[in-house]
Amino acid sequence: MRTLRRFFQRLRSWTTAREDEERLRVEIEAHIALQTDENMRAGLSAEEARRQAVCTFGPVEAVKETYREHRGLPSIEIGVRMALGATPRDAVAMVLRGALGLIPLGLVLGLPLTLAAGRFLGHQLYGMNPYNPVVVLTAVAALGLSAFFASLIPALRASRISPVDALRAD
Amino acid sequence: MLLVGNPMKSKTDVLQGTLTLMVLKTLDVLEPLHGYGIARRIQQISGDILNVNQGTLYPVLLKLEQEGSIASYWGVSENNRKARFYRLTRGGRKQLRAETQSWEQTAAIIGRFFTAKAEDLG
Repeated sequence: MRTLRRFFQRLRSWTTAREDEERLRVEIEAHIALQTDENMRAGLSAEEARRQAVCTFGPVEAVKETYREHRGLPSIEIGVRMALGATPRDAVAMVLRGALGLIPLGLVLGLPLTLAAGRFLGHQLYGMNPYNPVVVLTAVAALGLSAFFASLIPALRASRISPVDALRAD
Repeated sequence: MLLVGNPMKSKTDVLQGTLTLMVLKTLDVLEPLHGYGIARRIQQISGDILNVNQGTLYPVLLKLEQEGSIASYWGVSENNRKARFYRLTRGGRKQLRAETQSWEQTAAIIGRFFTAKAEDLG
């Protein structure tokens, strides 16, 4: 259940990435404006107040970079495990397990739906066998294989995580 | 001045893991509050020793919201600026309680290490 929730969370954060980044931009702008106001209350000129506010905030690009890192892998968890002696292979296995664990769930949901849809389509199309096992199995294999390769990329990235960086990044 | 969550990764960023807890506790006391207010509050409470680096504050806020611990909305600040206000959710309160407990436990254990003397082991 937790894997599933995390999966949807990550999925969601990918689809809203642009929105989130825009929000981050507006929020940083608001933050600097508030700091500028405070600096002006402290007696600085408008220009100087703004300049110091931007300085205090620090590099905006670095903030966005940190945000993008946060959106990615659960690197902290993998980092901790690697610090405790897990090998890069373990890290790959961990990410793959997370991704491939969703496949059985997809099958449980998908197969009954396929059969239900087949029943309906069988009436609509002439000469089509909706329960062709070869077609169904090929589809399952093809989708499973692409899921495997799709999760291999983040898995390999996970194996290169430095435990120290992962801990710092949280 | 100690930086919390410095993106430049200097060695002063030891306290990073505690930023989440500080954010939750701040909101527990002062919600609803905008990011700037949270940063200022943490700085004040620490007696100006901690300077929250926004490089991690805003990503942490976003992450906490995605995890359902806090909720946010656009509002207008005291001085008529558009700002995003944050408040704790019920899940966030639960998380705060759990994290407070685990923090106190950790602090107590470390404290015992400092006070333990050699003869205590005998």
